[in-house]
Amino acid sequence: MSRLVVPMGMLLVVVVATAWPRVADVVAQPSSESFDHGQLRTLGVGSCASMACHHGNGARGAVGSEYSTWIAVDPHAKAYRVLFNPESLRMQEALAKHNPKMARFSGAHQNPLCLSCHGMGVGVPEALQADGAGCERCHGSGEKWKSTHYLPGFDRTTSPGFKDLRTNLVVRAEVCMPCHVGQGEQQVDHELIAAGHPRLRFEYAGYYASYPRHWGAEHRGIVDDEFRSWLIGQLTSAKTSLELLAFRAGNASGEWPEFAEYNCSACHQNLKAASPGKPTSLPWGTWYHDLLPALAETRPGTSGNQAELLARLEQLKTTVSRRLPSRAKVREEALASAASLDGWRNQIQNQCPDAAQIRAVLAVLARQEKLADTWDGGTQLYLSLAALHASLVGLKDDTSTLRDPLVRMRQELLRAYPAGRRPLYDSPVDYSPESARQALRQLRQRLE
Amino acid sequence: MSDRLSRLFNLIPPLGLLLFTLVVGRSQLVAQDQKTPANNTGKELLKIYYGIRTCGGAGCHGEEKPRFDETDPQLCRFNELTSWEKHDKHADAYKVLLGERGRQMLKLLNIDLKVPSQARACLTCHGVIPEEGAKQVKFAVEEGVSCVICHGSYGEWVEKHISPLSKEEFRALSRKEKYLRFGMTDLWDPLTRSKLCVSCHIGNVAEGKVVTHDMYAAGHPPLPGFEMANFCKMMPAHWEETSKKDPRLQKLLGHDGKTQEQAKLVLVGAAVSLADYLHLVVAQVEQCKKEMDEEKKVLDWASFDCWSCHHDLKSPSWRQTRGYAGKPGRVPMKTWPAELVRVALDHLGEDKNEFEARWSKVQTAFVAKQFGDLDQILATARPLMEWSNQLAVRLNQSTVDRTTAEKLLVRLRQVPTTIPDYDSARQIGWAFEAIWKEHSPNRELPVAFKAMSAELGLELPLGRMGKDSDGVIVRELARHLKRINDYEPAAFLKQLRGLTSPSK
Repeated sequence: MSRLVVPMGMLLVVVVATAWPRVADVVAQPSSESFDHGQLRTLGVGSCASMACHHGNGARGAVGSEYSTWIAVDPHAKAYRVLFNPESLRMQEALAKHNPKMARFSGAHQNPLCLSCHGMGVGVPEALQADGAGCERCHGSGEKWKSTHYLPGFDRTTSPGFKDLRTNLVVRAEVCMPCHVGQGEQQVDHELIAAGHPRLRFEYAGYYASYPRHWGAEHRGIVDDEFRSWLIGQLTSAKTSLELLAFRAGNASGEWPEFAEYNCSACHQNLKAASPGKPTSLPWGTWYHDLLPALAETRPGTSGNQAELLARLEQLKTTVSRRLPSRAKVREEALASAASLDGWRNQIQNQCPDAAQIRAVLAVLARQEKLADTWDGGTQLYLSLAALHASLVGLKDDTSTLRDPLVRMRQELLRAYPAGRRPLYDSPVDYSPESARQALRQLRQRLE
Repeated sequence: MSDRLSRLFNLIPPLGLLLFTLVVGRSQLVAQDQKTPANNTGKELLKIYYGIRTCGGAGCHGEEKPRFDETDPQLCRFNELTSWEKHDKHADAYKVLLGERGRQMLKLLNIDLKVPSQARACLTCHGVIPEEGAKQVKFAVEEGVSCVICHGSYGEWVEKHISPLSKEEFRALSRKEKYLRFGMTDLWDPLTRSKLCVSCHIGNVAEGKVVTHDMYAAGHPPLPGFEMANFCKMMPAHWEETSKKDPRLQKLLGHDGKTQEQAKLVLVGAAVSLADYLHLVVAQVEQCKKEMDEEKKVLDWASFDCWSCHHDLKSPSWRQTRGYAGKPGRVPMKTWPAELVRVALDHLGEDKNEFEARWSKVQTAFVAKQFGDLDQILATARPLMEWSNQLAVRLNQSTVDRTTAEKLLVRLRQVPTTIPDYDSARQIGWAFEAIWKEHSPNRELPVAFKAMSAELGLELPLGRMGKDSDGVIVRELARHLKRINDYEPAAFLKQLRGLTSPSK
């Protein structure tokens, strides 16, 4: 995996850190059946952490030392603790000041909104919340499988509550979504961001590549495929974000329009004297959706439905970008698009292209100069290119000529944050689209 | 003798003008006891739009340098038009529409200046739209915000103040009479002057003076927070302050010789700014409520505080430290119009709590939901608007002398109760500067003030367009915007604490 991490370097650390403390379960509005583990009881990390089971205190990622690894190096283990830091205290104060519901809690560590990602989830006993984003947030509540999952003949696909993260890449991607993209009430909205929470910028492949794994080569049967992870991650994130949009549009008591849906920099920027234009609309879709047309162009799945989906998304973009978008229309269009994405994902989830095909996908992405107009678009492009690069490396393809342009692009994206700026929170003030475009051109030349 | 002759010659252009006035229409003088200002009952007075050349004849207002005759002191300085033409941005008001930025905006907004219904959006402030059927004398809209727009576009006063038969009599009239009977706007009155300026500099729906978010997006420079005394000074003023005039003229103008007129302008201007900002908001809300299109039922984004959204995100953030008027993340209203009202209330010795309670209600209404709760805004802003208008009257009647000025300078140094944004900080800086300079013109402003002035850009861009393709405001825009983005309240508050009194 380190081969992927190298070109992504610091940028990933930056982006990943945005949402490290936020892995969780479904709180409300489960969007996917595979993800719904209903009212099963969560047992807490204590039930996994005996030395005979997963707390072997062995090497990082060794079999039997999964918990030991997690507690030592995984930021998810700190998810709860950050709720006590000064920033969290200030956020809780800001939220409580104008909202009596929030004012009931003495701190962020009691606030269900926070615990829905920073703890073991809403509805889980208070005593377990301090575990942070513990084992069962990803592996599923253990009530029904705790005492059977180590037995021979245990069925990973049908056991109630158990999530088959080992072989099913879709399930693996889905478990991240509720916290890192948002689901139902469990979301980072503009209110939370204004109060001080970092904006969520999730790119599955990038996060996955940087994740400090508590498994390794000894673990049998783990499927790792960078290309599929990347594509499934892209489609799953886009789908989840559409479902979240639909939820927001349909939640009559919720904020509307919900500014967290839009490109932060569209409003939050130092106005430039020489950039008059004609916006007065809210640009939407820059993080999760602008790459989709390029993905469709790569035609990793062969279906005519993609054209229809893209047209739908384009329509949705127009609807959402209005000054006061129609809730009903947005909800309807977002749900329809999400369903199409689901279909697309089903088509591609088992495809394993060869190196030549991956290079063709890379070439398509390298042509997307328009995306580099914004830091969001440029970063999404870069993360995708890096994932594809890593998958080529995995296939033992010679990628030596591709490395330079990728490193250059990464540097350009990082350069957007001058010294002293905090990328989790601040604007990419020095982003130079032209430099990013140059890197893309260089990559294109190398691919040709 | 030659002096008398030259004065006689000086009468020639005014006589021509007088003749015209008599020909085009009979002067119908409004009853002397009329309470309503003449320009609110336009039909009674003869509306005539004079071009600047009619004011700039020799012996009138077009002389090269100010002239003062000890034996025959005149209210004017004879070089008003010259000064305006040479230095005043108002003279570029129309021309900027044809500059690079102006053309770009017209294109983006689909406005053809030749089509009156389209041009109206610009010309209400960047010129004037003459009333239908009104006479025009050498008038051209291209002259921008010209003499008659502020001084009153009525034949009566123009005729009276130049006719050898009536000028002495006219001169002896009180400012009020000149206004009520002849339509000469009483710009010496802080209230009248403030109302006039803010109609463009803040906006007025009924007069069609509204800068929309579309206009800003297309390139209109942001309307800055407005402060009367400094904005007048930095036109730059083509008049002489009353306090500096000959005592005989002071008497004519009703000046008591003690009033600190800049300080008064600051105070009255503050109340008027708040009242008219709320007036604008109320009128816009009323418009929204009439709309059928759902999207137009929300306030235009220009009604909100520009810089709450338009800033580079950076942490730690003073906005988060300050907190929000409502739920975090909603778009708030502008807050600068309240800043000096607090100072004005302290000056009057009135209770600030009532104001704060009312103001807080309006702010809350703006953030009760995203883009504001229209009914709540109406219910809270309208009474506060009326209250502010009454406050302006009380301030206009209050005594503002040197002692008051000293107290105001002390008061302005008080650290505000909430962290001030850029526009609010500027209000404080401008007020301090205007009052200090009037009170102690020969004493340098404190060092801390100079730093404050540089960081807040208290010196407004000066000068005409010249051959440049854009006006001075657009030329300075990049620097201005950077200052707003770089603004740090901590630095401002430190400078504020560093200010001293003129007596020290």
